Amino acid sequence: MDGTTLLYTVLTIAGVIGFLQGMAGMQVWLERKLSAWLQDRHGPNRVGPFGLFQSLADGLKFILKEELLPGNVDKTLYLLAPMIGLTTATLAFAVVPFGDTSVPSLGHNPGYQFVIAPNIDIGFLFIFAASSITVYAVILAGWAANNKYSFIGGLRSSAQIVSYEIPMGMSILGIVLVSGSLNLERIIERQVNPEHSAWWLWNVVQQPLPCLIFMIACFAECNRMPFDLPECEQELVGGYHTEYGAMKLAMLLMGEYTHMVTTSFLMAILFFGGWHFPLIAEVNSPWFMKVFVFAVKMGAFISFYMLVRWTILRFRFDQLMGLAWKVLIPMTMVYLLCVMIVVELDKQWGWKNSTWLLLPISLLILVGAAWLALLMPKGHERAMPRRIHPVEARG
Amino acid sequence: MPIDAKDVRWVQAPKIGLAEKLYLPAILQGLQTTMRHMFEPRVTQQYPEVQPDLPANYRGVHRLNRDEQGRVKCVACYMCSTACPAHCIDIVAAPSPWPDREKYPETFVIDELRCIYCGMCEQACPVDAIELTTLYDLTGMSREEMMFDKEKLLAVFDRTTQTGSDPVRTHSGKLGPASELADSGLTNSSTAQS
Repeated sequence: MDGTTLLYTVLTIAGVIGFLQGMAGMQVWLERKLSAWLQDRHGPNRVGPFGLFQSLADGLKFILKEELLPGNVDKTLYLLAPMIGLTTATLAFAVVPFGDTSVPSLGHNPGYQFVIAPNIDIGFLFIFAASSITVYAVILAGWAANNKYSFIGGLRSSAQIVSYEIPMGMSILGIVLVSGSLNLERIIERQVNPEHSAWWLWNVVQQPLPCLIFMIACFAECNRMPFDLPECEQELVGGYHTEYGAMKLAMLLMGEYTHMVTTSFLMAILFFGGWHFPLIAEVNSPWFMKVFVFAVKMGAFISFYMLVRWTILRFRFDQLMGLAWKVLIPMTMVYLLCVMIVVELDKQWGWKNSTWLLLPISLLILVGAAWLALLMPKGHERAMPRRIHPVEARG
Repeated sequence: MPIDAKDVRWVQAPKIGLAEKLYLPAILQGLQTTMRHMFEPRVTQQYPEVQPDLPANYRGVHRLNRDEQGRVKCVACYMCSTACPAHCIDIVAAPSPWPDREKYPETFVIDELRCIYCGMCEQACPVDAIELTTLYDLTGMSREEMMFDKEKLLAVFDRTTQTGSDPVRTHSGKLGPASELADSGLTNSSTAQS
């Protein structure tokens, strides 16, 4: 690797790490402000203009708090868990583009690409693998705390994360097959190139079902509502981060917020066109427009995360697991079959724009799954049929 | 006693339709509700820039009322200190220097820290001498400072009636029915009993 590329890479890494840590602080502020507005309150507005320095104050608080090492914990694992959490969450960001990338089919090759590691052909798989290791942070934190509640929280969280990784990966396979590559830049390219899609349309219009499933899986991966059973206070005090305080807790929380940023970027890239926006940021637009569009999309998704937190009720653990294994995985399997057929229609039979078939197929699978669920009797009735049959409610 | 079978009505939860089983329409409706709240006005009151709007009968700091001639209305009958559940009122009575009443309080001390602000003293007073004002943000730097004596209580009266926030809610000027000289002809009151 020559000197310039190395310099660019090091600068990009420094920039990205700074950005991610800064985003963690901003997200704390945004979460508090948005949560307040949704609840008819003001949110922090004393510490700076609109309370913007509140996260600074929170950060200072975390740094200056007493660093405890409780006597009853498994010391190695206790110290290791936040490290793993923060490291893997930041590592997953290595292949995520956040600005201008090359579009070879349209002849666009910028000198500097806004990715830490450009042209990694296993792009998405790398992110998937790195986020899978974050399960270790949760399990180790729950185990090392030597505390029944943390242990149960860690157990639930690890089961949840592992179960929802499967729909997350499988729903993306549809996008991958259609785009022909796991490389995130190629996926953006396919959405930008007017040859493949009729207008400026993004993957979300041709394939809404994987978008929905991926979004649900991302909520579960980040332990956000409605899947935040592992860290809810009503059930488990603090869940797996009960025994943590000060900077170690800050590391675990930063890891969670970084995960949110990464999945927001992924959603924007995979389904919403990445840096593309119809008139504002086309292929030949300046780099700052593309970075700006990316930032706006990411901000929109993070706000969506926070909006959903205060809208949907928390799932019970069996409902959560049932949703993953009984609903999302069969849907993704059927969808994958349909995508394979549709891609073959294009390749073998030369049916151009056959991917548009996926739109009605997605809707059909969604409605079909709901209809099928209505047909099936409930679990407890299948086990033991009811002997007294109540009458219909009147009035 | 056993219930008749015909008195029991069995009900069942309403059946779920396709739209409800999808969960998505309900979630979108929920998101709409949440988003609507984001654009509605906030209900928080920004204290201390905005002071709360208190009703007139708010039970805050006590005061001793003056009558029309500026004398303290209290006749040291000890009804308020007897009624007080926290025993925070301490009165020392003395013969009154004015002809229309027998006694007056030489010292009248309320320990504002012991007080539970229940308003029983205000209810008990027969001459409407003690009242609770709308002053709520009372602070002090020492325990001794928070034992309000007669001068301090009268000062509270002067301050609250000047600002107009706490008008005197009782018959102003005249003594109440407990004053036994009311019908003796020595006073100017028209509350003479027949």
